[in-house]
Amino acid sequence: MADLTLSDLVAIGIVAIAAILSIVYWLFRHKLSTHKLRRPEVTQAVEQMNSAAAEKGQRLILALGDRYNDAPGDLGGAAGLPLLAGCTSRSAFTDQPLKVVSGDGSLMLLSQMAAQRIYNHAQAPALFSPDEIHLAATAGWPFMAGLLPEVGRRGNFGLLMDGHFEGESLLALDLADRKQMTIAASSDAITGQGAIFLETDSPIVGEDHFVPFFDPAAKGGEGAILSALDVLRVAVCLALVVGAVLKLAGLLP
Amino acid sequence: MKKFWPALVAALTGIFVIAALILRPKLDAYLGLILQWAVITASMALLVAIAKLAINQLSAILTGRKGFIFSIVGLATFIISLVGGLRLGVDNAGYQQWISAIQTPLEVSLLGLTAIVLTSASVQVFRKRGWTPLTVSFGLSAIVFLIVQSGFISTSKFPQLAPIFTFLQQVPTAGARGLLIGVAAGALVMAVRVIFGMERPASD
Repeated sequence: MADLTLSDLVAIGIVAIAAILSIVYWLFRHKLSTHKLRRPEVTQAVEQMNSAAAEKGQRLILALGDRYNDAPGDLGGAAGLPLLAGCTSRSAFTDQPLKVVSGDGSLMLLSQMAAQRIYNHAQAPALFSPDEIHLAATAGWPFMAGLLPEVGRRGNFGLLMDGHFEGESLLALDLADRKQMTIAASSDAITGQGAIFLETDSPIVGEDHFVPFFDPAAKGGEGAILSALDVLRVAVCLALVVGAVLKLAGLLP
Repeated sequence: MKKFWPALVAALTGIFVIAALILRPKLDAYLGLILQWAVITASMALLVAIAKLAINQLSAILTGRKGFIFSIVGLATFIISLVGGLRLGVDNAGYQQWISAIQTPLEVSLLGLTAIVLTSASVQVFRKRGWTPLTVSFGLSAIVFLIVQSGFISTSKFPQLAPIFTFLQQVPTAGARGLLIGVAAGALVMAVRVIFGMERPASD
């Protein structure tokens, strides 16, 4: 075994804590009282957006971001997939297929797989067709150039963005805002979170990006994520404070 | 049962990769092999996705869909880039220069547009949300850090202010790191759930 540094040991410790927390909360997920847990405001906004789009008979656009498997932060790119499954399932109520724009090849194929499962068992397959899931481009700026025309089309009710977006996402958010579309967005990138802060009423900060926006299948699983994140958040804060004190005391290099 | 086996294979692969990373260099050969498989799979997925994109554009042209002119431009550019890359090689200096000569001005113009939109959005945030503690602190911090980071004020005449400026210059980095730690914690919980099959992002 290679020599483990102090950083390695700390990293292993954090992973172990996260694993234990996730498993314990998942095992007891049905006993969790989820209504007391803090949920990001955006999760409610997505529910309302689906209902309002159904009332007006207009469609929603979902942008999944431009990163899945080619750089760090990949899991942030996959965060939009449960949202896709949830919103696609609701397409029967909105009477409009969900338009999905992806910026990564693997992400697009995974999205099509998720839609295909619903499509195969659907009474009205036109509303769940994987053909409504497109690849716009495979990098940040070209992806945004591909997304903007979709946002600009008539008959859109709202824009959902969930995945990896950098600051350029401001262009799509601003266009949607000018077209008076409803917006709900989340990104794992700091610049993307900054853009979302400027353009939406319910900004996402930090780890909230990984909380499922809208997932009827999650049930207690969502509570397990929220509970594990809450404990991890406190643990990280305590570790930072202790680290700062040790550093000031000269006990850490 | 149909969902069990893929989840089990995914979980075992994930656990093996973590173990191999900790037990390096003993398992380096196997780790490299698995990562190669991942790269090949991802590349194939990208090829399929690009083919689908090209077919969509072709379909738009053949059916005369609104805006099909853009599809012609897009498809023609794609074919020229593909043929150029295959004939000259992607490392060819001329080919790279040609691609950059198109891509860079487009990206820079979008960047310029973003700067204008950013300025407009920063002002509009007060109109949308009013003068709340959050918006006021956002506005003040934006002005302060813009002045501090842009180097308008020199501390050479006031050396006693240097520590304050150094501190102020570090504040945005500290804030960004705080957010990144949060994102990392979220990703960690999600990763653990995916590895143990509690979460299947691509499944229903």
